[in-house]
Amino acid sequence: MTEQTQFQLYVGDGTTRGVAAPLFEPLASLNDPAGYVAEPGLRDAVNVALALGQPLLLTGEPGTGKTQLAGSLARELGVGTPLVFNVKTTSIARDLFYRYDSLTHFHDAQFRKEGGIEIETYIAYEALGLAVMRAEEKAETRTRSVVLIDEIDKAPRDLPNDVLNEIEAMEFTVRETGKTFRADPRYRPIVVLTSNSEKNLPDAFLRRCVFYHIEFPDKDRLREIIARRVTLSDVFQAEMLDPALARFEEIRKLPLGKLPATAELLAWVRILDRLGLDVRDAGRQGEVAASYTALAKNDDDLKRMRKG
Amino acid sequence: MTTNEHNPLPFDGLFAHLQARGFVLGVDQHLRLQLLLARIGAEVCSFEQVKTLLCPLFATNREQQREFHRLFDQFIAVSEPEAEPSPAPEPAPPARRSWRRFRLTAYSSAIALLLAGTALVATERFRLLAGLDQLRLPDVPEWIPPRPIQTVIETITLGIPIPQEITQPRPVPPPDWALDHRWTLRMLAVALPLLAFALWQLWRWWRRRPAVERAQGRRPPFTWPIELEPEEWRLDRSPLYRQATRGLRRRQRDDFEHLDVPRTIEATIEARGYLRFRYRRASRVPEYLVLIDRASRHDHQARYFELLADALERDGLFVVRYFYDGDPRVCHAPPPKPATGNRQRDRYLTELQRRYPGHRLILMGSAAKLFDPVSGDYARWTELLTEWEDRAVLTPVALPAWRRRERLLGEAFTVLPGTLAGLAELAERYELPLRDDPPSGETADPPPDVGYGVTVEELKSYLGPDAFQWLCACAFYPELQWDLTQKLGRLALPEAAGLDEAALWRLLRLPWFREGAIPDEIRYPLVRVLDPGRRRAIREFLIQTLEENPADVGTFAADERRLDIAVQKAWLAGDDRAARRKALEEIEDLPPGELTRDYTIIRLLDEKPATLLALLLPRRFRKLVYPEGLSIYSVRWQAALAFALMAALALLGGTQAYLHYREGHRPLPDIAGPTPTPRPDLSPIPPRPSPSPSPTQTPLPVGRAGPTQTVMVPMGTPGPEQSKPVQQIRIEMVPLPGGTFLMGSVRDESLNYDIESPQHRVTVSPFLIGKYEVTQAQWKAVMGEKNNPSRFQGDDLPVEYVSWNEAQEFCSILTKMTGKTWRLPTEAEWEYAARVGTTGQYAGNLDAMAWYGKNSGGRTHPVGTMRPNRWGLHDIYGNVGEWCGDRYSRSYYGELQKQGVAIDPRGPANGSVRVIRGCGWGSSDVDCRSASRGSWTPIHRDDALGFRLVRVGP
Repeated sequence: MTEQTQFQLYVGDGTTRGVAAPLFEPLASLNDPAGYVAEPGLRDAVNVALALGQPLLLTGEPGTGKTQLAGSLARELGVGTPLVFNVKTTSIARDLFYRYDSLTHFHDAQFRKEGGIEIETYIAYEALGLAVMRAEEKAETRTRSVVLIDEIDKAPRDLPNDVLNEIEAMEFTVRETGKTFRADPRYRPIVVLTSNSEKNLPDAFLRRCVFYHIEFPDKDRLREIIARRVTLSDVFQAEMLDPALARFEEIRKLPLGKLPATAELLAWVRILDRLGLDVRDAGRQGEVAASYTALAKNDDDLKRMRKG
Repeated sequence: MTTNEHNPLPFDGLFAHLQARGFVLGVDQHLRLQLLLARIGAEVCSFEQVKTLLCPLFATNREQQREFHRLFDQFIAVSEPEAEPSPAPEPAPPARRSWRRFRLTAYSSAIALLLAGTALVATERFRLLAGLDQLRLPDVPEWIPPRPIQTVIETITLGIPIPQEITQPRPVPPPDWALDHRWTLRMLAVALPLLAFALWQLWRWWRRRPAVERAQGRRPPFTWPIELEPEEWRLDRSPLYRQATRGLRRRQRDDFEHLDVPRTIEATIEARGYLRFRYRRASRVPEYLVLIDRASRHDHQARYFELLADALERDGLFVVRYFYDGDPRVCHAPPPKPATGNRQRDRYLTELQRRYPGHRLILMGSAAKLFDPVSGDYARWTELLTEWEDRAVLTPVALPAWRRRERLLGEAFTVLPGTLAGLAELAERYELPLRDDPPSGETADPPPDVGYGVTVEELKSYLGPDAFQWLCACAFYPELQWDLTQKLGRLALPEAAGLDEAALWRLLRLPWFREGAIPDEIRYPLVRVLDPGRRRAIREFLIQTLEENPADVGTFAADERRLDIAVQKAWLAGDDRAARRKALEEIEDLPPGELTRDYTIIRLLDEKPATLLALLLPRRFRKLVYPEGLSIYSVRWQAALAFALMAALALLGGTQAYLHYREGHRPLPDIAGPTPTPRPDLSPIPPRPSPSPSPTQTPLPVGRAGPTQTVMVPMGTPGPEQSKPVQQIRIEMVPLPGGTFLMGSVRDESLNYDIESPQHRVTVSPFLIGKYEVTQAQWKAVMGEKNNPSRFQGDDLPVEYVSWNEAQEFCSILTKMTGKTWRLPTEAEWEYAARVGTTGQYAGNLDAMAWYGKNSGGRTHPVGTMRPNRWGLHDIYGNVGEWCGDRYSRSYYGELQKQGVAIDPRGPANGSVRVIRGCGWGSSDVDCRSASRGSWTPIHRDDALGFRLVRVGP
């Protein structure tokens, strides 16, 4: 996809080596939905969710492509990019639809004296709210949209239960203006929820979702993913990829605090490729060990990887 | 299979499958399924896709997803028509009962033989018939004092022609199979038990082989799950519980604040337009981190708390649960539940602290390890716990038993009893944290100290009637498991609704319910408390439950389970011997080392011995004979070998006894001797060939045993080459007058010789008795030159190493040679001759009269070299012992005594041994008394045993 350039490493001795800093090659392609491959089970689960018009709840290890699915789905359905809502620990149900900036409103009401203040100005619609509005009968161009509610398990306990009805009926009321928005059932937004399955979601919520757990891909699928997502040199592809994958599997068997996932693998493979590193190369084990920083998320894990 | 909405897939079976595994299948799911089939069913092309399409409808977490896939695959596999053929039925177990019965019979007969044989060998008495004709005898003449007697010298000329009549074969006793094959019999007697032992060992090995193979291939696990329909958890119906959940559900103040718009505006207005912000503390749903103290897998207190946590979770509270064993620094994750569960990892307390900082911490269970064992103060690490803002301890310790520890705990925690009341109280305290009045509580007594032999009565008074019955029911199974405890309790108290909470807690506070086992010594008395009907019901229930819960084949658990079932069955069988035995056989198959759990119960079972042998064996020998001393096991092989050897010995003894018996019933040569046949010329005697030395003509093959040979006496006509010079020998006889004397000895004459009593009067008719014992020269003259069996050779020495039979043979040949009647003395005659009218121990000075132990030098001496007794008889004591003609019986004297005076007694009519009188060169002085009696079998030979002749008639 991008032109292969020799990646310049930081040496750490203060000597200037290049004329100028090499251009950064953005990793955005890692998240490019074009390269996303859904496994058959996931594909079927998506179809079930589409058929039933129910939210799709995805769990799985971090880095197994839960978030990317929404992009892939939106792309395939031709609705552009998904509307994303990143759940925070302080999120409440209303935040999914809109936010009301009371402070600015108050400020303006106090200090701007020119004419009536349009309350609508202080309301910012969030992912789900936007999706509903786009699907409203009144809207000029009704479209379906894909809504990604990421990491719902981060939310306070109340949130999933609080949004149940809204998601089911796809309608909400802005309390500040008293306006109610309702999606045309035929343009029902497609909701994808992700969770790291750290906490239990309430049963009532689970019952209204289509559930799918993404298992960690096996070696063949990993190779397929790599082939689709990263452009690798032919030499690496032919000779060094398999040992790298084998090493990766070994690492995943270590007792690590956080297991490296697909995303880490992609990054690592990229580094190996750029450095032209063969994991079997006995002479360059120091460099290989250094490359583990792409896989490890904390010091303990890094040490374990280097040891094991 | 087609996917057609009018023809829905046959999913009912799958649904049943799923439901059984804890999936929730509501109307909702069915509707969704129908909808799904209608919409995309037509595009489905494979089972695999059906699976992945259906799964999202039913699974709600990762475990369920995996489980669904598994179940679906299974379902499809089962539905396929070409299902695998069902495995062949297991071969029927070999019939063992008949073998067992056989073994038992063999044992008992062996024992019987053993006893019989021992008795016989010990006493040498084998009297089959007792009692002589009760003779009414005429008045006996008075004792005639002896007078000096002169010797009658009989000169016998040998080489006399043997009359034709004698050369004819004597009437031969009918052939006796047993006697003809005595060696075969003896060999058989020894070989049979050993052979039986070898066969038995082989058979046992063959029978135990499967068990041994199983034992060798055994692997963990040691336990297996007993799954029971869980009893309904009733405590959540209690109003206290509802009160508690209401309280626990109340929102908790959060640690951040919201702008409170209405109040801000209000405040701003009050401040005349100057902005005054007002905030309001956000609230959140409380979440609970519950750490449960679990001492063992079957800790009932922990289970109680766990169920409590379950109930709270079911009621919508957010509860994170971990277990700890005494010390909460390491917490164990609860097992994943398919219905709800996330899989959790074991965590350090510090990790929990990081993960659940805002949770309310509740320690359920003992907090004993929070304290330093030495100082009694808080251990240092407990600071970790204080990181949580809300922390409470629900302690299992009964309120009246609260001590310093609880007081100390109270300083850092909210300490409350672990009951529902405590929980409700806790909910209140979250709301009003400052309350510090003592918790309202129950007034249960602390449990008795069960460490040192608690009595049944103590338990009863502590628990109260219901809980006590409950406990008794629990004692039936070696392990306490929560679900089992509930079921058993229900069986013990069918009419009661169950235990109320207070009673349940009294039960749970017994340490046994934490450890998961009641000690065996208290189990037995507890079990007996219940009435028989309930006992039976409980045992039946246990057997059924165990049979419904199989353990993996080839594991230790599988054997454990078999043992459990067998024990319960044996117990249930009670007096039904067949059922009991069947159950015990199961146990028998298990290696003895396996009796880890129900050892005491098996011992109790063993009190009723399983076999006759066990019944007969004294308790202390059981350990020698059976592994672990338990008669339910087969006999140890060492013991079996010992049995076999003993049986061989006994059989040998029995055979020997039998042979003697046969011997005894052979017609004896008439003691009076055959009537002398009139001979045409008694003298002069022309030289004639002697019957010897042709082997065929050997009158008596002395060197060999057995009367069977004795029948082969002179046969055939002597050949001319056998001619021999005429030889004359002298036999000196002393005529003795008849008389009456006291035979036997008084009881106190010698401690051990009650066979010589009672003393009784005997009258003997006149007879002639040999002045000397029969010498070797005499023997050779009669029996042939080469036929001297004696161990000490010398013509003047008394003949010895002759059996009774041979002595008889000698007499009969001599009788035939001389035409006069020669025989052995009767016992009475001998003693009459020895006593010479005396009644003491010896008739004279023993040292001067006898060659015996003290002076013989370990050999025989020429006859007549010691002083004779008053009647001129030499060596009546000492030199060699002397055969008498009588059969021997120990009780014969008693029978004679009853007759008053016996006239010429000739010994009992039956008996296998013969009397020996006098003593040999090796005997002690005690044995040389006039009254001493001995006995031996008629085939016995001995180098200190010879005989003396008696002649009657003219």
